[in-house]
Amino acid sequence: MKQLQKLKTVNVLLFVLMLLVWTGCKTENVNPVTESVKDLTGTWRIVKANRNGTSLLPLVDSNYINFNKFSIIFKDGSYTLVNPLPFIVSQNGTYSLDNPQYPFTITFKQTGSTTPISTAFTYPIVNGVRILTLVFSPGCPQNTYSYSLQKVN
Amino acid sequence: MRPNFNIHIKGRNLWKFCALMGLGIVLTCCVLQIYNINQPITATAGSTITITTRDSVTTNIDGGPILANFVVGILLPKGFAGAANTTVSYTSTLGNGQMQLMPSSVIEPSTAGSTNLSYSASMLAKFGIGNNLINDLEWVVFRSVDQVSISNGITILGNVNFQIKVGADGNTTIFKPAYVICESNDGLGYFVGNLSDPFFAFNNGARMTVNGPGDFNDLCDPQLTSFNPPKVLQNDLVTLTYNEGLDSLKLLQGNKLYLCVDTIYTSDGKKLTGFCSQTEQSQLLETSVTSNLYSLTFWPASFFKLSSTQTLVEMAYHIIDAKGNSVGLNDSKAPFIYKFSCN
Repeated sequence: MKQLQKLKTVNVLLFVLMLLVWTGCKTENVNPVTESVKDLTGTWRIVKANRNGTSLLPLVDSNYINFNKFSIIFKDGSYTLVNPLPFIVSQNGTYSLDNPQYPFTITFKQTGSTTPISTAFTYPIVNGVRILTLVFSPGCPQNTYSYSLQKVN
Repeated sequence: MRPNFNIHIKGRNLWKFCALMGLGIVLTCCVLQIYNINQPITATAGSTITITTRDSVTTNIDGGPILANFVVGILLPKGFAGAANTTVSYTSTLGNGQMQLMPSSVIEPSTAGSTNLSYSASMLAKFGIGNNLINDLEWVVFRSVDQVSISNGITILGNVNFQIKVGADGNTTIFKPAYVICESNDGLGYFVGNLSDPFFAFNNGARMTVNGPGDFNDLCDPQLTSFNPPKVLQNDLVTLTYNEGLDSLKLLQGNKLYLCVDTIYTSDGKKLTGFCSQTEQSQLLETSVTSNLYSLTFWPASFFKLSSTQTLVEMAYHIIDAKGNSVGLNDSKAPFIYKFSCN
């Protein structure tokens, strides 16, 4: 009789233990990480400039062609060019990305123009910093230019 | 426990190809030579010329035979549109045949897995623009329509025959062609990476003048002035280089040299002047201390203060020194003329 009582107690204790274990396990809800929206707001300067694969930077360093002075300012869907150089667009205007989180192209629309100009949106992180690289042909189509820009503020 | 390799390789042709590639690691395929080039030195734009090269291929293959296409490349001015205007055939001790344009999708074997270049791009990377100075040429590549069975220890002799309709752009062009032969198995590779054991042959051709009614384009002789890129419009950044070493009359003195533009012409028929200055904006700088080459990189639309509705078509210019002495076309007083065009 005593042994049976003991067994029953052990069973009850085991059952209670199992209940505690089952209710003690929490199911963790893993929240999916949302891809950030690509925000270009700010002033961007050229850090690299190529023409047909060769760097332009050693060729020009004057008050007239100065890659250090060129900048593009993105704000509230508009862009402003400062100290212009040959570029995808020559006038200020508006810009947009085809997809705010996973953009593949950036489109510029000059004020006064009905034709938007799109180019591939290349935006890798290089040494911890976002670099925006734009490829375009402002003159003859067989000449390809590539500017890599970094945000300065 | 022994691992159980139960690999199903799709397609027996792929297996054969892989086996060949595997053999290729220990093969010395071939020693190739271009030993005679027969080409004209003058031609008229729009006419069809014949260029023949005599070639030999001496094989040293372990095992084999291997199946490969003959591959040839020819360096031509871009203005010739060579791909559309060239027909290639060959005769050889292993048979005769036609050649077809090498598809640009085919990767040149020695670049596979690294830069993955087409044959045309790989020849440009490897051989550049041959003996020319102005980069306005391209490698046009052909492969034999049929594959050829190449056995060990034989010498194949052949003639490659190019029929080229030259000067499609109607210009007078002076250039030096160049030629490459190889085979589709090894491309532009080397036997076990040994640079003195190539699987290809390369040769420069003689200077050729194609006369046409259009513009004058000398791609191979040193020029008093040259433009990079060679074809630009007003919104390109163009680098003008002046070769002071060719100023045989020693018209200019000192080392402060400037671009003096006498007149520009716009598409609406207007002539504009007032662009001759001796300022920082127009100064050509020596490219290195001993080069005797002076260059200026400028943006024509900005240099000439063009509005968005003006289209620049031509400029007449001199190179001047600080005292105003000037050099023009052929070291004379006549101006140099540059046409802004993409063709």
